[in-house]
Amino acid sequence: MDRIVLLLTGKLILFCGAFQLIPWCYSLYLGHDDIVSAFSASILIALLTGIWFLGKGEKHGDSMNAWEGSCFLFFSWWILSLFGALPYYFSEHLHFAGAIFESISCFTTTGISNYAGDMDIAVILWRSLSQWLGGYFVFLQLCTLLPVTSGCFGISFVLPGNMRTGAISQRRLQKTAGRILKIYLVVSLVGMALYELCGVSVFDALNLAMVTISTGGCYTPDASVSIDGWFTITAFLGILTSGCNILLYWQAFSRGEIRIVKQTFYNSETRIFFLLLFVFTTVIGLHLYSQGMYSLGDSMANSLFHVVSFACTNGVMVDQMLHWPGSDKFLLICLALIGGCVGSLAGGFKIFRLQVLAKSAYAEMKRSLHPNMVVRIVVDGKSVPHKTIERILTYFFLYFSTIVVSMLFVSLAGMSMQQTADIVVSCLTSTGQMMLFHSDYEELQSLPDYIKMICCVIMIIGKINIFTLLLLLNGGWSKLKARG
Amino acid sequence: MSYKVVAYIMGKLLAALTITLAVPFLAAVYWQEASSIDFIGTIIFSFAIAVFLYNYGELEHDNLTVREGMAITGLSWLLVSLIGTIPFIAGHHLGVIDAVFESISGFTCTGASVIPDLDAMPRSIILWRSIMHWLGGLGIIVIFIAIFPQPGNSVMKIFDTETTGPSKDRMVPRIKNAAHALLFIYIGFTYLMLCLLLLCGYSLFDAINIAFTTLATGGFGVLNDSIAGYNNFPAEMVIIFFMLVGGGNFGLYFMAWRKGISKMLHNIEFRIYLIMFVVFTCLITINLTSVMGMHSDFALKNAAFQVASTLTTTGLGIDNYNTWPAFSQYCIVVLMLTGGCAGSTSGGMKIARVVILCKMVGKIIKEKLHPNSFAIVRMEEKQQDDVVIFKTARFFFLYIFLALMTTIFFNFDGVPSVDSVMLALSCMGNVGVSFGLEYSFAQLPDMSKAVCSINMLVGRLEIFTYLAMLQASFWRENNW
Repeated sequence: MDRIVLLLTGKLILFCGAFQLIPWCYSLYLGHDDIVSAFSASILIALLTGIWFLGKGEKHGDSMNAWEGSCFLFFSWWILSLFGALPYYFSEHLHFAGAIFESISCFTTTGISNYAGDMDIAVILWRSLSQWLGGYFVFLQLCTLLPVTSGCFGISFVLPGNMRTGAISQRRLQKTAGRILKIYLVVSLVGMALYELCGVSVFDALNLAMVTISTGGCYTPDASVSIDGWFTITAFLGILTSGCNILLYWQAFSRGEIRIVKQTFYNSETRIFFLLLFVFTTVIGLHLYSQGMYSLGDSMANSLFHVVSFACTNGVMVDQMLHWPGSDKFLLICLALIGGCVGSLAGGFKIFRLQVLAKSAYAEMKRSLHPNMVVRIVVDGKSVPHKTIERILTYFFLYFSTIVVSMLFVSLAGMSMQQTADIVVSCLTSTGQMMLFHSDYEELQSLPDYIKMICCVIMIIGKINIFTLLLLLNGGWSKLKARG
Repeated sequence: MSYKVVAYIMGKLLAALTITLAVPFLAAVYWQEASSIDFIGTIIFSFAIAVFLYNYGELEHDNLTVREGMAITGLSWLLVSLIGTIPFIAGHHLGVIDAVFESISGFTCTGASVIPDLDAMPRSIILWRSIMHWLGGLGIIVIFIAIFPQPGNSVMKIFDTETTGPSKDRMVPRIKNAAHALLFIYIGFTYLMLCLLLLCGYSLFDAINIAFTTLATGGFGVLNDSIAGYNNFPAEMVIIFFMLVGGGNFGLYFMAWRKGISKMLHNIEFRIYLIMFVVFTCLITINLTSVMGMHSDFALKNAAFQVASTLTTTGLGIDNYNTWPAFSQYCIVVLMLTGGCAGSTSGGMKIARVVILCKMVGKIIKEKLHPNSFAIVRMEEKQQDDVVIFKTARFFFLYIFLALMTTIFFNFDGVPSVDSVMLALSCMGNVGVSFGLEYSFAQLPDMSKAVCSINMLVGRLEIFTYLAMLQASFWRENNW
């Protein structure tokens, strides 16, 4: 393996440590000594390990190939989460497995917490911050690593031309990282400003902005959001921004052309996304109204808010939602499984792939009448290559098998089928709050450690794509065989 | 498409079905049951329709087109299922929707029954249910082709529409011979099983019914609590064995008969089928003993029976799996999805398809790690065509998609979430196993029953036939 992987790992650890300085300063300002010491220890460890890795990776090559890319992708999440978990562990609120679960849940923007009791305010800040960082990391991967390892499943097709090809070189990573950070910061600051305009305190606004933009969705375990006025609209906008194709915004911004902004909204994927939101909102809203849960206006507002929140795999929800009928919850689960647009921070299967699948199935329907027909599938005026179609079809199978296999593992915890399904879907799509649909908070906290670790793996698979993991395992296996 | 040709062949087919109705009629006369009048009525009605279709129709051309083949298969299944409802309705045993559900469930070998109390049913009706299974198991078309003389090569298209599995390979060149061989093997196995069950101490009536339902991987029982009521251990072993036989590829048995048993054991699909049976039985046994504290040999028996019953999509039961732990239940779901081998009487997605899909994943990994290599998907030392691979993958998507859509419908119709997922998968795969309902589908809302019936038919003919029939251009008269 090339040493560039070590170098990047070192940088990642330092990056993680550097961001811990923010809650460290904050706790220093608040004067919470035990938290200060927890963060100091964690930062120190991150610093030392990071520098050691940097030293190891000094004589590195230029770029990574697909296998090295997938190695880095898989292990980077674990390393990032490991160092992110240190503050929880040192503050002695959680044991080691719990801390890792907490950290991975934040970094993968799942957002479910297994904290028992009150959290320190600096720790809350670190949780929001790590969700935000996780969102940033997903974004970074989407532009650099993922197209190389699993871009064949439709990501490459929708990516702007300048990002589509090329090896993963350090120079390219650095350049992209800087550019993305700028956009991400700007969007988050705008979000924060909007929240402040709604009359939320600065600290809350900061946390909420970070949590909504990154599709994390968990501010504090018992934070209650209420459906009223501007606050909702702001949350709504924030969530929506992250669910659409961010790569398209990026292209629009970086080229400074209004034409592309317009193109964003003429993009068929975006339109299907909005259509889905509309249909699901109407169905759920009317059903809630017919069940007599709210007045017509309220049921529509509630339905819209939750549909958007779950379609973007964010998972912000109002407490009352837990009393909704099972069929509406099931629709929300389906929505989360579909997920947002292909270039977004959201998890799930992604709409573009579904679009190709649907067109492909329709073509097959026609082909059964005309057996020698040549199938051509067009999305937005571009013909989708034969290979991409084949791979998206396979990806559906992979995605589905991942769900089924994960369910088999998680069901060992001894929960009911429904609860197991909730946990798996919420981990895979990174919509943490979905776990609470049929189980309560204490039940989740008391899950055995090995189940929590399995959940961690599922959460990471949800972010890096199951194919990357298979690539890693297959490549590793053939390398082992070659050596032996 | 020529409607006359379609009517002609359907008329002949229906006449053939009418003959089979004579069996429960004679039984009813022999047992002096009131339902004999229902059966004679059905026979007259069915024969009238058959004669009408036959007279209206005309064999305009020998070579059937693809569309005619599909229309014949799709419409025949529908028509035959509707005719099958008449004895239930005429005898006031069931309402219209229930009767349709029961009949479709019978012909598609799902085995989900809406009859609340089987003891109250006349024995001839119970026999008719088993005969429906037996006919639908191998496929009404196959049996029809095997028994009746067919002109030209017209039957290839209808034969292909009914056979299950990703590719339409045949073991002998002539369709007629293939159908003969299949029917011969099918009858042979049924007879063998019948004898074994009699040896185990079943009464003749029970043995006939259970043999029919098992070989066809259907699942209608004779007693209210399925197989558990007999409490007969050797018979349970016989049933497990023949359920597994029913879930295997019948074409393969023919090959084994001709070219030696090794041919069968080298077949990758059949091997995976057996491995799945063993592995899942072990997993569920361990789970049952460790979590529920069941005695190990009791757990092994229950697990083996349930795994065989679900894997082959039969749906007979000896234990209530609703009380099992979630892990075992999820194992059952996996088995429900895969189903048996291609070319068997079982439903589900078919193991061959799952194997092809897994190989597709392997192909993509290979291409990714070695970008200039050219990878292919192989099955049985044969390169699989792109068309077959794509069709398999699209089938998978549509299968899940349709199941999900119906799940959402069941949900809104008042069935709990998990139960409705299971119900949808159970109907799509013609399994007849469902959770939360405790062996009985009778409590489902009427609309759900109707949707289930459609699902079962669509699942039996593997989706594309009915989807193709939804297009307007399908029904156009001209041929090009």
